[in-house]
Order: sequence, then C-alpha cells, then structure tokens
Amino acid sequence: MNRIFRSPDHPLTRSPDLPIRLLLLAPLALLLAVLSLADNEKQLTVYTPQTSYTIPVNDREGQLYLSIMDLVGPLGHATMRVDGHDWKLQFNSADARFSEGKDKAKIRGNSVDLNGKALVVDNRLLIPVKSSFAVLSALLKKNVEFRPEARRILIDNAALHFTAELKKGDKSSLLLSFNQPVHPVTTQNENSVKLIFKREPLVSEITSQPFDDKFIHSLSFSEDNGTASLVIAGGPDLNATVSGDGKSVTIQSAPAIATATPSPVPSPESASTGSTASQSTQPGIGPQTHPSFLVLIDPSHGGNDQGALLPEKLLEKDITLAMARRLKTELEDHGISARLVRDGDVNLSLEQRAEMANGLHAGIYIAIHAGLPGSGVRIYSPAITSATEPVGKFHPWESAQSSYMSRSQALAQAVAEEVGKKQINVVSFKTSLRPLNNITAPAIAVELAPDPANVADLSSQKFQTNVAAGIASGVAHARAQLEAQR
Amino acid sequence: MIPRSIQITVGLLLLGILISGLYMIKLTHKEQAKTLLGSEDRPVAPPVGGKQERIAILVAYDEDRALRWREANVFMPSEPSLRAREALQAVLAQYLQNPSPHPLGKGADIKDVYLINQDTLVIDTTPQFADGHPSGILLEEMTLTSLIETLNANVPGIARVKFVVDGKERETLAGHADLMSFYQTAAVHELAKEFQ
Repeated sequence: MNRIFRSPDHPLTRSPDLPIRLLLLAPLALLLAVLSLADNEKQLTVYTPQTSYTIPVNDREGQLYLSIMDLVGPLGHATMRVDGHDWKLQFNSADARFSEGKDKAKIRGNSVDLNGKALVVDNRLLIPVKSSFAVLSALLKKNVEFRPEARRILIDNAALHFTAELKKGDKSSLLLSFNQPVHPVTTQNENSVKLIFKREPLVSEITSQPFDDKFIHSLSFSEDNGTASLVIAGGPDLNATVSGDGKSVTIQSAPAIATATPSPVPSPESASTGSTASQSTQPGIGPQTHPSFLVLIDPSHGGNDQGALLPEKLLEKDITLAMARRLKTELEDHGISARLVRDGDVNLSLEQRAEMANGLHAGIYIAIHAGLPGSGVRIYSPAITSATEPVGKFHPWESAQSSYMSRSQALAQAVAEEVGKKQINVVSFKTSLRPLNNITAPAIAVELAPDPANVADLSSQKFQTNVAAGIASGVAHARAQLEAQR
Repeated sequence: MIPRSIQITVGLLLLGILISGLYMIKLTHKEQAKTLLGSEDRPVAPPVGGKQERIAILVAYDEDRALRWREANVFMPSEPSLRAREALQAVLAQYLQNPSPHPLGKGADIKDVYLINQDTLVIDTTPQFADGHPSGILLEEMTLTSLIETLNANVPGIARVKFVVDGKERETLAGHADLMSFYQTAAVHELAKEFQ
C-alpha cells in the first residue's frame, strides 16, 4: 500500500526530478496505449481449404469497412483500375465495377447490394464488411459461409470440425480430436486453458458442453474478431498437449503430463514442444521432435507433365518421385517429419503444389528435379525477379517467397555443404523457378544432374540414396537455425 | 413483217444480255475491291533501317554451363522496340546455327516485341520457341537470362520484360523457368553474374 499511496515525504514525491521522470514515463505510457489499441484491432479472417488470412477492418460512417483488394488479393490474381469514380476490378476471369459513393456494384454483369456506400480512402477502395459475403459469392462462384458476428468467412466448405472425449480416471483428461492438424495458441488461467485458433477454420454447433467431472468441468466454443477459441474449465493447473501429428490436443492436470512435456503449447510456431514421449524416443533424433516442423518434398512434374526427356528413355517425373521417396526415408531417419506432394503419377499444377506447401505451413519445401547437362547435383535457391509490388501487408503470389529468401539461401548452403561431403560435385544457383517463389517457407530445389557419361546415375539407387542422405543431413543442420527464425 | 412473238423473244434476249453484262461488271468490281482489301490486311514488315553496329550479345554454352559475351554485327534501328527485336534475334541466330552452343527447336523466333511506357518490353515468341525448347532448369534459365541480358546491354531503359508465346501467357518455358512474371532486368543482371 505504501507504494501506491505515498506520504508527502516519500523520496519520489520529494524529488526535484519528478517532472523529468514523468516526462520519461510518458513515452512508455504511450507505447502501452498503442499496444493496447493494437490488441483490440478489429479484423476479419478468410479461410479457404488451402490457406487462411486475416485482414484489418475499420469503422467508417457507422459501420465496419475493409479493403476489397485485401479481401480478394490472396484468393487469386486481382488488379484494380480506376476510371474517374469507377473502380474496375479484374479478378481472375471475373470483372467487377464499384463506384465511389454508390451502394451497388456490378459483378460478372449482375448488380450486387453492398449494404452501404463504397468509400475511397488513401487510394484504396473500401466496402462494408457486411457486403463481403455477396461480393465473394459473386466473384468466386463458390460456396461462401459468412459468420458476421465473428467476422469469419469460410470459402468452399473450409471448415475444421472436432470431437471431445472425456476420459475419466484418477487424473481425468479431455481428448480433442480434429480432422486436420492444428496449431493453437494456448493461454492458461488459474482454472482453465484457452486454445486460440487463429489460422484454422474451427467451427462448432455446440457453444458449451458441461462435464460431470472434478478435473474437467466444461468445454466452451466461441468465435470473435476473426478467431475461434476453445476454453476448457476445470481444476487447477490444467495443461494442453498437442499430439505429434497435430490432430489431437489432450487437456489434463499438469502433474500427470509434466514428465512428458516440459511446457505447455505457447504459440503456433512452438506448438509441438508438447510433443508425445514416443516421438522423443525415436532413435538418432537427439533433440525432441518438433511435429509442426514438416518438410514437404515435391517430386516435380507427374502425370501428363513428364518433365525433361533424359537419355536411356528416362523420364524426369519418374526419377523425381523415386528420389523424393528416398529423401523422405532419410529425413525420417533423422527424426524429421516429411511428406510428399505426390506419391504417384498424378497431374498437379504448380499452383496446387504451392498451395499445399502454404496450407500445411511446411517448415521447409524441397522440389526435386533431374536434368542435363551436369556433373553432380545443382541446388537452387529462389530469386525474386518479378516486378510486382506488395499490396499493403500482402505479398503478391509471384513473390510470396520474398520474406523467406535469406532462410532459403541458408538452407541451400547447408544442403550444398552436406551433399558435398558425400563426394558429390555440387553447384549452387539462384533461380526464378516456379513454384519456389510462391512458397511461404524456406524453399529450395535440388536437381540431379550427373555427367552425361554417367546418366545411369540418375536412376541408380546408390547415387540417389547418397544424395538424399546429404540433403537430409543438410536439413537437419539448418533446422535449428530455421526454427529459431520462424 | 417480223412476227410479234419473235420481236418479244429477241427483246427479252437483249434485255437478258444487258442484265447479265451489268451483273458481270458488278462482280468484277467486287473482286477487285476484295483484292485491294486483302492486300491492305497483310502486315507490312517494318523496313529494318539503321546502320550496322557491332553489338554485345550474351550467349549460353550448354557444355560449359556458362553464359559468355560475344559480339555480332547487326543492323540496329534507332527505334527501341525494333532495336530490341534485332538484338534478340541476333542471340537466337547463335542458337539456331549448326553446331549450336545451346540448341533450340527449329522455328524458334521472336514474333514481335511491344514496348510499353518506354520501360516494359513484352516479347512474343513463336510457339516453337517454347514447344521445342529442351526441358531443364538450367537450360531454360540460361535462355531467358541470355535474352534479357542482351536487351540490357543494347536497349537502355528497359526495366521489365515479359515473355508470351504466340500471343498467349504460358506458365513455364519448358516445365521450369517462370514465364508468368515480369522479369526485372536489374535483378536478372545480378543473377547472370552466377553464369559468367
């Protein structure tokens, strides 16, 4: 109490420097105020089966507005042209026309009610948040679900469902199972755990589920300001543990899981610190496995796209798949989770490959290629040579990689060093190669390119295994650095 | 006295001949007009003027996996888009000769170039340029880099380059190199150093 209600002879009160101290404290107070405002920033989240993104919304003329380019930009190729008071949007193959001050828009030739005037602020066209559903439905011609109170939009049935199972016992636990991997942010209070889902399109028909249990009392679902949350109320020291595959979360009293998990799940990036004990006992892992650190291996080409036609009737698409499978095995031997973009002879567009990598929030993306001429292996890191400028905080699809360039180069260097140690000639290049530039993760391409005299190496198990071991070793070396930067 | 029926028959015959003659004249005029119109529709190739210059071109050498500067004698017009076209064709000429340092498919050529806002060049290639291009990251990258760098050296002011194939956008050149983006010539200039 003395610290709050100071007596007149308190040293601070008596100090002649008081105005100066107050002056020094003012910026701190201002900073806290700004941070407080930032926390309360209103936003809207859009979920698609491939990705999700959050955009800011602002109060204008008594209702919430958002930028049309923020809304549709990440969903496809969008360009805006201004003609007087008319704003003409070209979105993929669809045309839309908005007029400043008008509450109607023309989308694909049809009139769409915007539920308010279109505004122009700072050379950006703003539309009412309430019109998001109508605008997206008309532009995309897909199923759009708008949850206006929560400011969440789910496109193309992009919903994540879950089930809850209470396991009663000496230490009851609640098992939450999801149909896709999740990366919740966890916050703990005295008698509850809150899982906040910022990226996942979590939905639930039930808002509250009571349990007749002394450890787990209830589970409640809520959604607000573009995020969904689950709150589990119960006894003291509840703790959340995410499973290795990210598809389940176990809520239990802390002492029971303390031996397996040193800390709760603090953030999406480190969600896997609560990984299961079985993973940490895998041979040769060393540090504990990080389930959210997934290496996505892309055997390039496939299906009708045969890739390069190589000597001895070899097809690039077959070599990349064989090599990718070997690399997956090598990575898993290093205790690193890996997944193939394709595990058969299927058609996949470059867009689909990038969408998969971004949707899975891959820790690393590695594209496998094969080609001539060469003398060993070529490692490519991305180079952004496109001239498209970012729109606000969104990077254009063509240069989505731009924030990850230095990490991609570090990865390429680590892989090149380790492959080189296998007595394989390695050359590194930077290249404008699709889909590397569309990937929002450290990304490299590895091209098997043996000497023309040793073309048989392309399909040689020994050569491929040797290269795969080098790449896996490089990934293992780069991993700690990459994870620290995530 | 000529019978009246013969008079009418002869009259009708003369009228028929007159009408047929007029119709033939009309058809002749129509054909002449079509011929004139047709000749106007044909594209008129711009005369390549200017003086012969010794220009620097960047040539890909597959065997060495390198790009090297070479010199070529080319009639270079002063107009930038024509200059660009001539410089690009000088590079392709190197690739189409036999033996070639960097073989391309037969018929690979520049159809046209379009200069937009004095700093953006759209290069329209023949279908054979992409369809017949050998597939491979390095080979495709070397082709694009050699063309863009040659532009850099001979047509000042070009900041962005976009490739289209037979007037249409294409995802990649031959499965690898990106053709969807507008290439920044300054960025390509930095990348080209790796090949030299």
